[in-house]
Amino acid sequence: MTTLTAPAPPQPPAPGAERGPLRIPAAAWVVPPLLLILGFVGWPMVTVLGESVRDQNGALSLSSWSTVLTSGEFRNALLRTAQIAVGSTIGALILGSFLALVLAFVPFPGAGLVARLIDTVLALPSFLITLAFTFLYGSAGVLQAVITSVAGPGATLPPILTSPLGVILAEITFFTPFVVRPLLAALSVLPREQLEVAASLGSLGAGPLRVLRTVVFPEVLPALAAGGSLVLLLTLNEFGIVLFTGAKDVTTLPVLIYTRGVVSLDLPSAAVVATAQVVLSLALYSAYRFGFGRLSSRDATPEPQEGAGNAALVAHQ
Amino acid sequence: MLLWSRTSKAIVLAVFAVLVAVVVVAPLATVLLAAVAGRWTGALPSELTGEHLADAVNPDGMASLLVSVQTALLAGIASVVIGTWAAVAAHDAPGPVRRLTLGLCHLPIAVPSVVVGLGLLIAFNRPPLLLGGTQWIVILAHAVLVLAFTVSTVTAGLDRLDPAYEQAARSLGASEARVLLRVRLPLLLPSLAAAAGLAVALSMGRCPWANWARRSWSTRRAGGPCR
Repeated sequence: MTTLTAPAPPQPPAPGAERGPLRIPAAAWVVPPLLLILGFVGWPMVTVLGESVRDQNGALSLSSWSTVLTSGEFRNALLRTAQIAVGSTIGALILGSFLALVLAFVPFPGAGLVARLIDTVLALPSFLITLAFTFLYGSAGVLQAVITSVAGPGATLPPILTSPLGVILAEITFFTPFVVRPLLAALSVLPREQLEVAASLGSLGAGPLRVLRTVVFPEVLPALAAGGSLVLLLTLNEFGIVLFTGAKDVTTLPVLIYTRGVVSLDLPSAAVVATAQVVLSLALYSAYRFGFGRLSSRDATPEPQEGAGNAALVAHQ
Repeated sequence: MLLWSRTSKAIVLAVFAVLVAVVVVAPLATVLLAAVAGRWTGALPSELTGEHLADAVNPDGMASLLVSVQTALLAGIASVVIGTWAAVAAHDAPGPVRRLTLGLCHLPIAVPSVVVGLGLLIAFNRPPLLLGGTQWIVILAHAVLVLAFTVSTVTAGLDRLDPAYEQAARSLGASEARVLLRVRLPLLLPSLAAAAGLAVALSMGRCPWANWARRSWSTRRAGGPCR
């Protein structure tokens, strides 16, 4: 395997360093993998775009675009997607900040184990978390059984799970570790002096909330932003959780793409929704990469924020 | 450090415990319990059984497991080879080229996996490359979806690599190919192993959506079952 990966890596282009006649410039080695990526990722995207500007007979037309974009179904799905993504991101940020702050600042026995458990959630597929949710909170789930045994057979659980709120709660559960992980990393490298300032502020009578707001928060803001924007991007694209909660009325853009493209085989309109979703995701993604490239280039250390984001990305799934 | 009074610390820890129990422990425990639950009609499973686990290793279960493993291994190998090449080449390339390459490698997770699947379904169910209905389109989809993670892992490994080793090798007159094969890749082995493990695990656990890409046009038009 290793021999296959052998892109004899190029020398930094130092003048006069030419030794052989066949010196290939450093940048040229990225071409073969880039071609593969363009062929197997870029080309399918282009065909999706191409499919969206064809009518049922294969002639060029923008009719699918006008039909889909003016349809209430698309607008509702767009609003629903934004609502669920923003709600889940805010929830994950709040919950994740609390968990990370307690893990970092309120030492208790077993904190390491809890941190490990939170990482375990990251390793699970998202649909498994959702299945666990239906087991726990579904209409035939554990919570319902508890309610029935306590309050009698008449008492039923409100159908939260299949509502947008249920999807948001499931996504908060699954995506909170993406906030906890970079935040814990940032808190663990908090400069010593900052902690001393924080401690002296505390002993002078500043409440813990004030110390958090004035000292800790500004320091970990990049990590929070990295985790938050990653969660926003992933919740925008999330498909498994929405599908597996069985929430029939909760149609997000990925669900719409799936039902149009795979269930009802209306490829042109699936392609239109897919293109719209890709534009949305890529705008957010380039803001994410560009934003954190800028943030980190101010620091001397190479790309710490991107590192934090990538650590979360690597841990993702 | 931030909380001095014993009561406030206790309150914070209690809230923390409840949140962790609901958000982390309950789902994990449910997954584990459900695997061994015989009958689960009440609040807790009324009997425990190893039957489901035994079911997973019966001939049928094994056959589908084998397909998953094959798919995951092939997709993992492909993504590690391409991902390592891309990561090493990007690491040596000048800034803008590096950013462009890494950005493109992460593209498949920046867009929804549904769109990646739809794209592959449309693009490879027509000439020049007809893969619809074969195992190859599933492997391709998995490889594409896990590529970003192998690239990230190898890039992180490269960033931590001490450049002194390769500089020493170069100063002793080693060719670039030799430096790569005898110095850099061996030093990167832990990252490569991590990337391979991650790719196979992700491919087995995380990409069920990619599987519907296998449905070929004809069977689907004829109303074949969709998964």
